[in-house]
Amino acid sequence: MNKSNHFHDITEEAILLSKEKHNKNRIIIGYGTCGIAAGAEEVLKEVQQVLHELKIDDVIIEKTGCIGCCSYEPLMDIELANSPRVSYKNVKPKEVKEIIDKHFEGELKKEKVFCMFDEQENIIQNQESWKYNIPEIYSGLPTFKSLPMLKKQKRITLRNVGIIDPENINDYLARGGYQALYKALTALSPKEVIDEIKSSGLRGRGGAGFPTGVKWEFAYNAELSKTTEDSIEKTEKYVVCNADEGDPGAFMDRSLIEGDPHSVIEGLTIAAYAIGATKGFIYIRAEYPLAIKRLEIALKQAYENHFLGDNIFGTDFHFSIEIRKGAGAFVCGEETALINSIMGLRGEPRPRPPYPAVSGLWGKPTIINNVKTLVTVPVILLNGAKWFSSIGTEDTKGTAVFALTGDVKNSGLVEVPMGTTLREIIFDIGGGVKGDKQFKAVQTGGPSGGCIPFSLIDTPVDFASLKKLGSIMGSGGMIVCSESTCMVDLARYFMTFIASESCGKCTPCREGTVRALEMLEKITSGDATIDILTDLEQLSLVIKDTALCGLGQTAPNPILSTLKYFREEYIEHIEQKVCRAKVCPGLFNYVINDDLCIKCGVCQNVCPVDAVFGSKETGFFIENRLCISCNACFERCPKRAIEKVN
Amino acid sequence: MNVDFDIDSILARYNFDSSALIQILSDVQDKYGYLPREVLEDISQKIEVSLSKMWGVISFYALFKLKPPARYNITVCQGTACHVSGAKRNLEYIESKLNLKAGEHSPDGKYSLETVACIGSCALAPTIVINGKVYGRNTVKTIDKLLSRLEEGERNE
Repeated sequence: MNKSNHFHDITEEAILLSKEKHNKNRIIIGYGTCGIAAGAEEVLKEVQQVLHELKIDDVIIEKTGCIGCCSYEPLMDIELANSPRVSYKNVKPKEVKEIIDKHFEGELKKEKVFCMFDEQENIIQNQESWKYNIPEIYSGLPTFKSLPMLKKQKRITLRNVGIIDPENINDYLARGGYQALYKALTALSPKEVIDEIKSSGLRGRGGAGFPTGVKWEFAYNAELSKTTEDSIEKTEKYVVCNADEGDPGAFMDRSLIEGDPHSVIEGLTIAAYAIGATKGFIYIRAEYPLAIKRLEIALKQAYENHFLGDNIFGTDFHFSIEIRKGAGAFVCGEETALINSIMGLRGEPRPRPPYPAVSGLWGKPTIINNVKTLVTVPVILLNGAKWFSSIGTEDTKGTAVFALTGDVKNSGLVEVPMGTTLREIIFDIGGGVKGDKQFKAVQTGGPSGGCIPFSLIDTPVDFASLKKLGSIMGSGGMIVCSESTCMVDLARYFMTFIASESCGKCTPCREGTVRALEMLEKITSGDATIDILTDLEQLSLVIKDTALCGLGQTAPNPILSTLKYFREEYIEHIEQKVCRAKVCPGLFNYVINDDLCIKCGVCQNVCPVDAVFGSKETGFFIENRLCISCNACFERCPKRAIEKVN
Repeated sequence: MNVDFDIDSILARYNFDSSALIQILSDVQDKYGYLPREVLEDISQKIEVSLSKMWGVISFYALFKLKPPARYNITVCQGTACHVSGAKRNLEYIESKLNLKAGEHSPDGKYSLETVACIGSCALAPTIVINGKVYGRNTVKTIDKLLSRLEEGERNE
């Protein structure tokens, strides 16, 4: 009883502290990996410097995770006491002083304003949303939710990312954090938790889309089948959070952990309670150092507050979590490989069944759930299965989180109800293709997925629809390709990746992907004949049918989908030796347009292989036989006088 | 290179548990920048995992290195978003500028050049990581700047 009172007390205190925050001046900086790469660190330093110079000392500086509008990073938000939070975009260190100076004087540097938050919405029912008072000078600013990028989004999984300070547990508690765990442990039986998740229709967000509740039930029942009269001792079980986000082009899980690490811990703990596990692992890529650091901090806080450890909330439930770092192997995202890796072995997969839910870590029942799946769990428990299943489509309930990147205007994190069309995601939310280029395709599902052409842009996103097109939902990478992407080169790119990541255990994947890569290289270098396409297609189908694990079985998808929708590009490469996107070296030429050329010699200076001949007196020309297509001259020419021609 | 052989503190972190081998190796690598053979031999005895088995694990994972790091480790991300924004061209440009192939160290120990499958900063593609710091939206121009900054840093020291 004491412990539960304790929980109410600290939650109330957290809510109080979070309300008090709005009475203070705050500067909030987007401090995810993306933000830092865009220059958030320099902005932060400058902010500290400027505050010191201006002798403003009543300001709290906070770091938050990535709010998902990555094209506008670094983002710097200012919230004056009892005023709305105003977000400034693409902030350069030299602009910091003016922005702060003006803002504190009651003026806004309008051209740098990204948006204003008129409220701090809370998706969790019975939790207060914070509404800001909007003074006169702020009126007319676009609100966060009204931005074209956000309008069609529904943020359930990303509910806290970019809003809270991920290193402060009070921020999480104040927004309903650990309430679901409390509810599960004190008011629900494990079976009831499983039933709730089952009836919500939640499917695994890691890519395969297996119903989460069903998976949990397998592991739950694994215990019952082993409990005989002689062995009263409970079977040891494990829960694992799969944060090995290896798909190139995907960063949803990274952003989630960086921006809201406690929700992962809470989701995993609920899963453990449901199946009866006492030990959990978070398997995370070593390539995500910031996410690991934030997780470590969050774990420490969770232990300190007794949300982890022995007798959680005064019940007899014990649970501990350990972080296990990967070491750079894509195949470890496959669950049986991941299990081996956690045990300190080579990350090679094995055939299933037995499924990990029956025999996983050290031969014990183990469930492995994706980060997004686990983060969704607490909301389902609090808002109810009915609420969750009312969102999305018949086939797939809830929302989908995508990392929208490539040739798109608004790159970033996107969360939409399942069933939203690709067109809405790419054109309404993403703002369409960057520059004045033409849309060509969208790639979903990473190396296991496929390329979808413009003609199918009105396809709704859910597991079934994307599969029908020869792609997959995957874990959420969505890369927009314009006319300047060569589809054959893209297939070659994925095959290079797979061939190097193949673990080598089974022949179809180890040998097949290398042979497929060789064929693609022949095509992209203009050395193939037309019958290669039949061979390539056949080989792809063989790999698909015979490879041991998911990595191999889905590896040919990029080839098969591009052959299906962009076959003409393959044929052009082979028969006309032409790469229409002007990407494949040797299948296009760089030519200097003499009408534009000012004979400055930059192209000759930057060429790393001395393929530019001539002088400032006579003008220049490019010897394409020496050229490595590094594009240096093309990018550096001040007059854009260098053209790529077929 | 002077290697400090006391790795017990790392092993103790994991209770000398052989299932934490990957964690132990990555902590060792964080400390030394690579996996020195002497240290591996020591670990092998202390957690009772044979060197050959350890080799199997080390060679399986891309992040483990058996060579001391160069002064500047340049990693060019080859993720999909980076790829469609010109990562391959950037890599080729750096390769020819430094006269190094990906995976190689320069003979003077100054540069090492690597690729990585994806660092997850896709919205800032194409990205390059130099000694752990991520640089986004790279073009030949920014690369020239980065490289000359490294050269300058070298001269100032």
